[in-house]
Amino acid sequence: MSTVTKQPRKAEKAEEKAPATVFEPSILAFACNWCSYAGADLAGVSRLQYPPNVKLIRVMCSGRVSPIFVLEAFKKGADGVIITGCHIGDCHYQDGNVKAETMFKKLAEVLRVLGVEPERLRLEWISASEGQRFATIMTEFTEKVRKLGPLLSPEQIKAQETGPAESSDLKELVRETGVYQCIECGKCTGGCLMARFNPQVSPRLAMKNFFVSYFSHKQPLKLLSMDEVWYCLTCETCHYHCPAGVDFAKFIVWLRSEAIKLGKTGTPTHGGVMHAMMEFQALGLKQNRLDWVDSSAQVDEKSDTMYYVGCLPYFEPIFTETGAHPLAMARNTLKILNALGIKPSVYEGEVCCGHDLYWTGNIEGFKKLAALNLENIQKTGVKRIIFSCPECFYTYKILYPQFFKTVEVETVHMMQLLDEKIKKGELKLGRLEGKFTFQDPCRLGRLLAIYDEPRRVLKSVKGLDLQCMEEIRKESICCGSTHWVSCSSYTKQLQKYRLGQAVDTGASTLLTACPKCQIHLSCAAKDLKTKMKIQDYTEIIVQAMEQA
Amino acid sequence: MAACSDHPNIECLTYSAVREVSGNAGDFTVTVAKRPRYINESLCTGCGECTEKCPGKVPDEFNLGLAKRKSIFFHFAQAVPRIPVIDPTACLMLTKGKCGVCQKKCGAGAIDFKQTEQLVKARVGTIVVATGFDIYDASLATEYGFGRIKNVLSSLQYERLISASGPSGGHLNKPSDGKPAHKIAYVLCVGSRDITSNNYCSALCCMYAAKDAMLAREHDAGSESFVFYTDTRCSGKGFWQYFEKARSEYGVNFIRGRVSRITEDHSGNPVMWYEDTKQRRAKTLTADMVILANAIVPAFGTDKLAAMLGIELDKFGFIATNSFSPTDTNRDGIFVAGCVGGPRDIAEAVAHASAAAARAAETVTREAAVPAIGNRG
Amino acid sequence: MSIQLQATKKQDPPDEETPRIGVFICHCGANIAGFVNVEEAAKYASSLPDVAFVQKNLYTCSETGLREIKTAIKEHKLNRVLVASCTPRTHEPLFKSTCQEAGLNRYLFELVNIREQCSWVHMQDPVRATEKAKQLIRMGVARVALLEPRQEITVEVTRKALVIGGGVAGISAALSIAASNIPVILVEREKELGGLLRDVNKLYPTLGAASELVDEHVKKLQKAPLIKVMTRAKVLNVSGFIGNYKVQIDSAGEQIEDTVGVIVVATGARIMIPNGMYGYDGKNVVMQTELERRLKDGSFSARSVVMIQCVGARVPEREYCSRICCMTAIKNAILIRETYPETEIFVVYRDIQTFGTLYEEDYRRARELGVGFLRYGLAKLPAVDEGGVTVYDELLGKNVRIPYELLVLSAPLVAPEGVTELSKMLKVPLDANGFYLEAHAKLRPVEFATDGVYLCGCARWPCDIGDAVYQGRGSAARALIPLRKGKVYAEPLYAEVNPNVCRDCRRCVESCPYSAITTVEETVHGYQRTVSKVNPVLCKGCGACSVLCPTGAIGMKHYDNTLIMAMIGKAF
Repeated sequence: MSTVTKQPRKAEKAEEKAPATVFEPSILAFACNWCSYAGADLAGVSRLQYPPNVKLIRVMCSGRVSPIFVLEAFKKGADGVIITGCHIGDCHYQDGNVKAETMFKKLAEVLRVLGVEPERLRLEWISASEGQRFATIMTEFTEKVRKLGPLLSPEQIKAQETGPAESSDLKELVRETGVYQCIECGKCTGGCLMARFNPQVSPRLAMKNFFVSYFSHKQPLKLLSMDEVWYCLTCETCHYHCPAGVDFAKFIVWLRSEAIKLGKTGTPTHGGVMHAMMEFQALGLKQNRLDWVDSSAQVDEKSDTMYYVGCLPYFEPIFTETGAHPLAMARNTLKILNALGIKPSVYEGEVCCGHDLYWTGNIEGFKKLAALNLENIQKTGVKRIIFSCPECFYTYKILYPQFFKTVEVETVHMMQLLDEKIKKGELKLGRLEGKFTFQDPCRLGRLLAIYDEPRRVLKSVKGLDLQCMEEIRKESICCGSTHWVSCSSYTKQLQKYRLGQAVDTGASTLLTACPKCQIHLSCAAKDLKTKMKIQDYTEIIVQAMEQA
Repeated sequence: MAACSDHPNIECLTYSAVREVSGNAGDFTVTVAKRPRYINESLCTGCGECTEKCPGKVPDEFNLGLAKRKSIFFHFAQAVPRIPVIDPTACLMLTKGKCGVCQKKCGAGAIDFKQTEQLVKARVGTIVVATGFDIYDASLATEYGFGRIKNVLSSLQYERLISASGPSGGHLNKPSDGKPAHKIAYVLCVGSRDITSNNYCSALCCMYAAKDAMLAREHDAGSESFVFYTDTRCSGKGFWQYFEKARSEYGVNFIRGRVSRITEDHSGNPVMWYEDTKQRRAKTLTADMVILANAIVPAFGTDKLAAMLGIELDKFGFIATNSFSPTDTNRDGIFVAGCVGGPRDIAEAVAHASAAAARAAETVTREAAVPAIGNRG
Repeated sequence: MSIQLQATKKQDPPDEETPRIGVFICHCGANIAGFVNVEEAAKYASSLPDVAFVQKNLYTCSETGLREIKTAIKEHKLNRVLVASCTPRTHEPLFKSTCQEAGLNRYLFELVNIREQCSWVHMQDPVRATEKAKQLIRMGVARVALLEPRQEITVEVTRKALVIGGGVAGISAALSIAASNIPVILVEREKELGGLLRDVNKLYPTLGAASELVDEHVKKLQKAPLIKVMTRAKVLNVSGFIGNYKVQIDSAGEQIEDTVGVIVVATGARIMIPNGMYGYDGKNVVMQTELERRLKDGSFSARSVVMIQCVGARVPEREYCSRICCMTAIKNAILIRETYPETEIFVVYRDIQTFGTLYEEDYRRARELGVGFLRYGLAKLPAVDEGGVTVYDELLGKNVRIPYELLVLSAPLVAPEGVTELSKMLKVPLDANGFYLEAHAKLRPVEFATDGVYLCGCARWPCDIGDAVYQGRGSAARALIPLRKGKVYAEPLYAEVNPNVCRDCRRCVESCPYSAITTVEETVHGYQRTVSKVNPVLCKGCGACSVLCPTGAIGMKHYDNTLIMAMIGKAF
């Protein structure tokens, strides 16, 4: 039918009323199907007015609201997000709202660190009979957010829309990675850590399939299984054993960026929150990432040495339940540096190094973060950057120069620094009894060949009995995930295998030197109920320092 | 409610009353009178436009007179079905023959002032009576001043006041001057455990008084709550723990002693006269507001309905049931569910109703298996 | 961009067909059109990707409106339908059925609420209301484009029930189920049926003999050929879910296996033995059950009796009232005073629990018969010496010493042995006191959150006979729903685990209130692995597991991340 649409009443008046200068915030509300959505309906039935700024998405339960929804909303232009559910005790699903509350607390902490004002995120219980409460809360919340002003500028929102990614020069890539050199010997697949548990993964076949797809179908990804593309750990075991010198890891990064364009994406862990958080940091909001610095720690804004902390403040709220304490690494690093007489600067404007975005094929995202970091280095004028995280170190040292002009700054990993200082006798370490073993991080080990430094550092602690696991150094086994993607039943097998090797040494503690090794092995150890203690090596160093 | 009205096996006749029942277990014929809503139910979309524009204003039963409603109205916001009713005693069109605003506003053309009562006959195998209860008219307990002292309210009025969707938006404002009440007393056993009114325990009041007092404290942390009790009746699941929580976490004051009388002071505040039996002293307490825990009494018309169904009442006027088969009446095929058989709380009423359903199902199954006498359809 | 969660086009739609969305916008008379410019919204809708057809209706829910939807589906080959009108809580089922009648899968439908949540709440600002309506339609279109056809899930139900516990509650449940011509296996741990009732002399409030009631129930059982009674029996193992539980039962050494559709838990309670309390010795200081025995066999002889209530109940270590003890004490006090009028009785209590219409009069009757009542508090417990009890009566403010020949202790009902074992076997929860935890304290008192398992009687909470009977029958009524239907239906909104991505951390298993997620062991590529698996029949689709899953292994049918992310992407 086509009736004549009535002209909206009072339309002109409304226009008059709203001067262009008033900021109209965008509010996204999530409402559970059973209570709050019905409450919103009741507000409607009762004609209770609230601002049209609020848009509502219905979910079955407030416990269904994944943190990624909230992050995504903020990224896409929400100025405020409100999650609503049944009152505690009234949940249609027993305790979904209790789960929502737990999740909300973690998320609020992550958002706070990211620099999103806590007032922009709200959790409210609204029952089906509380239409008035719904309208009141929505009005109140809109006004509160209106006062805060926009979270992101239109430019910041627009800047996220990456245009059609430039098609890489395939020939150049093939040449650069040396894929064409592959002699199909299978050494890569035979040594591939994933292929041990998931036969769908084969570096050799990935390359083969690529070539066949490319030459016979002109579609490079046509025959590739997504397991091949997304299950790769990028541990580079294959690369360092390839008799033909093929840089498979670099090739996989390219494959991934192509796969994303086709919508064939991998499965991110933690609901994709990690990557979203990293992209968020590229938006240039003022973060709150230095709350962890103890008052006893000595830092100096004007120092020409900077300690680059990385994502540890973000990992902390998310991973405490695995038994890992990412921020302890940062605190310990500062303690060690101070003991060495170094008062570094720690920089609030620091953003994620971009490591994980790079390895998941999100090159544009990586470049944005890298550019911000390099800009910061110039702004602060630091001469030396010290890293505790092997991934950040690798990214600065190897990846940044590949994409940007060399920046005049010295990059040092803590292991290198400690090794040098201990050799010179500048760090006094006491005695510490115990049997330990050490997990080589792939970025520090295979990718940068820093194998001896950690061993020398650890052995310099008197009484510390360092045992060797099977498969170390160049053959070391990955912790299971390097960039928050494709955690799976296969990686679990891998971790089980690795923890088994650690147990076999007779050591009671497995020392890690990378926050991800710590998180992932702790998680697996918890699941598997092994007695092996997982500890960051800085803890041991600090303990030894205290014994001196 | 929605689950019930949506169920394919349930036909809901709302705004209706039973007029006549004949037959026996397995084959009853029930005559139901559908009262006129003055709305064509199949056309109404439930939009509520009509209720917006109606000029009538009468006390709202649902809010126990604490608010006004229109002459065409929804009984309450979540009423099922979502179809309004015209109050024939208040509607200008039905009383004086003029107005008709609702008819003009209704885009669906659903208003029908000519509707009349309709008789519906239904043949059923079994009958479950679940007509509920009324609350004791507290004005009969003259010593408590209900209806005379403005700030003495019934428990149901309190429920509406503390409800966020209620007439005061959930604020506990004194009816006398509209100012917030900070000191609230809850008087238990009003019309219960009293041979001059009802010599039984209403079973729910202790618990809801504790709840009410906690809600008030949640609403206004600075408020004070006093509950006057005789015995705390807390034998249900988790009830004692709930009391302990009210006492220790919410700071609700429980005073053992039944209030003797309530008077009003010059500023309109109710004054309770009582003995604190644990301190063994007669005292007074002045509160901003007093909430009476009215007894649960048989619903109006329970006696007539029972007579129509040929079932017996107990000495209190509830439908009599067997102690060890508490859903069964003295007549085969007729069962009770919930408070029509005596006071019980929600959980008990739900389980009780399920039991009545089981008994009803037994009847239907049994009767279906045996060839019936008479003309079964 | 983020990985996977980006609102990309559906990956390889199974039928390779591109979405052709029909958008129907309702005026709802003036309810929507009065405040939202429907014309403008319709024009906007037609500009959205994948939208093949747009129509405005005066009332989309009217006969005409529904007919127009059906016609458009056929004429314009629509494979998705979106209606922008009122709340889905009213007309979603109607519109879904309309789609189905036109040959479109009912799950390829989406409703956008532009009335309750737009026109009615933004009446003062039609311009922005129109803008919001357009955005809501845009979000809806993004979602409906990604929807996939789904089929309702149906599971056959074995028409047989297992009732665990042969007390009054269990017997009542069994009789009710059998009355619907459905076979029942009734399992009793002891060698006789009757449960706690076997230790009782007379019943309150009728003062009839308990044995008669037990006999009456047992007789009814004997007359019910569909009920198989197994005494000295124990459930050894339970596996499966609603409709098809495999149960293994040991009856006096003989083991049987059977399949049942539902399980009713009626395992009852036991009375706490007050060892070490108030000089309990079983001779002069006894429990109410011992008093009942002496009254029954005539060996009662005391000239003065004191009863102490709440012995081990309503105390910090057992924070509950046991419900039946006050009435038991009052009943026995009345019986004694009527039979042995010379015997003095005092009941030392804290609060008298004579709730409801039946019991308050008994309390009065006891007082009338001269039973003394003394009220004590937790602050000063009664002190027992040989021959006397000293009670600080709160209402008197003094110590009172009363002599006794027989001291009777009212101890509470507590959870019996074996509850933990059974609760694990059935995957149903217990509360802090060891009583079974129902699905909802108010609205679902006689069933568990897990479909197909029900509870009644003292297994749930201490209760008297009347309570046990109606709860037994109530649980039967709930159990009869699937049993009589012979089928259970579930909406296809459920979680699904990708076993390759599952790393067996069991966060989902632990979080699911319905026990819908279990783990299965399998061998893949020569490796043993354990992965989670969702039972779509038990899953209610709340989605909490999918949020908790650290690896992204769990997806939600019809409410998957991609669908919600698509809406978020189009919200601004």
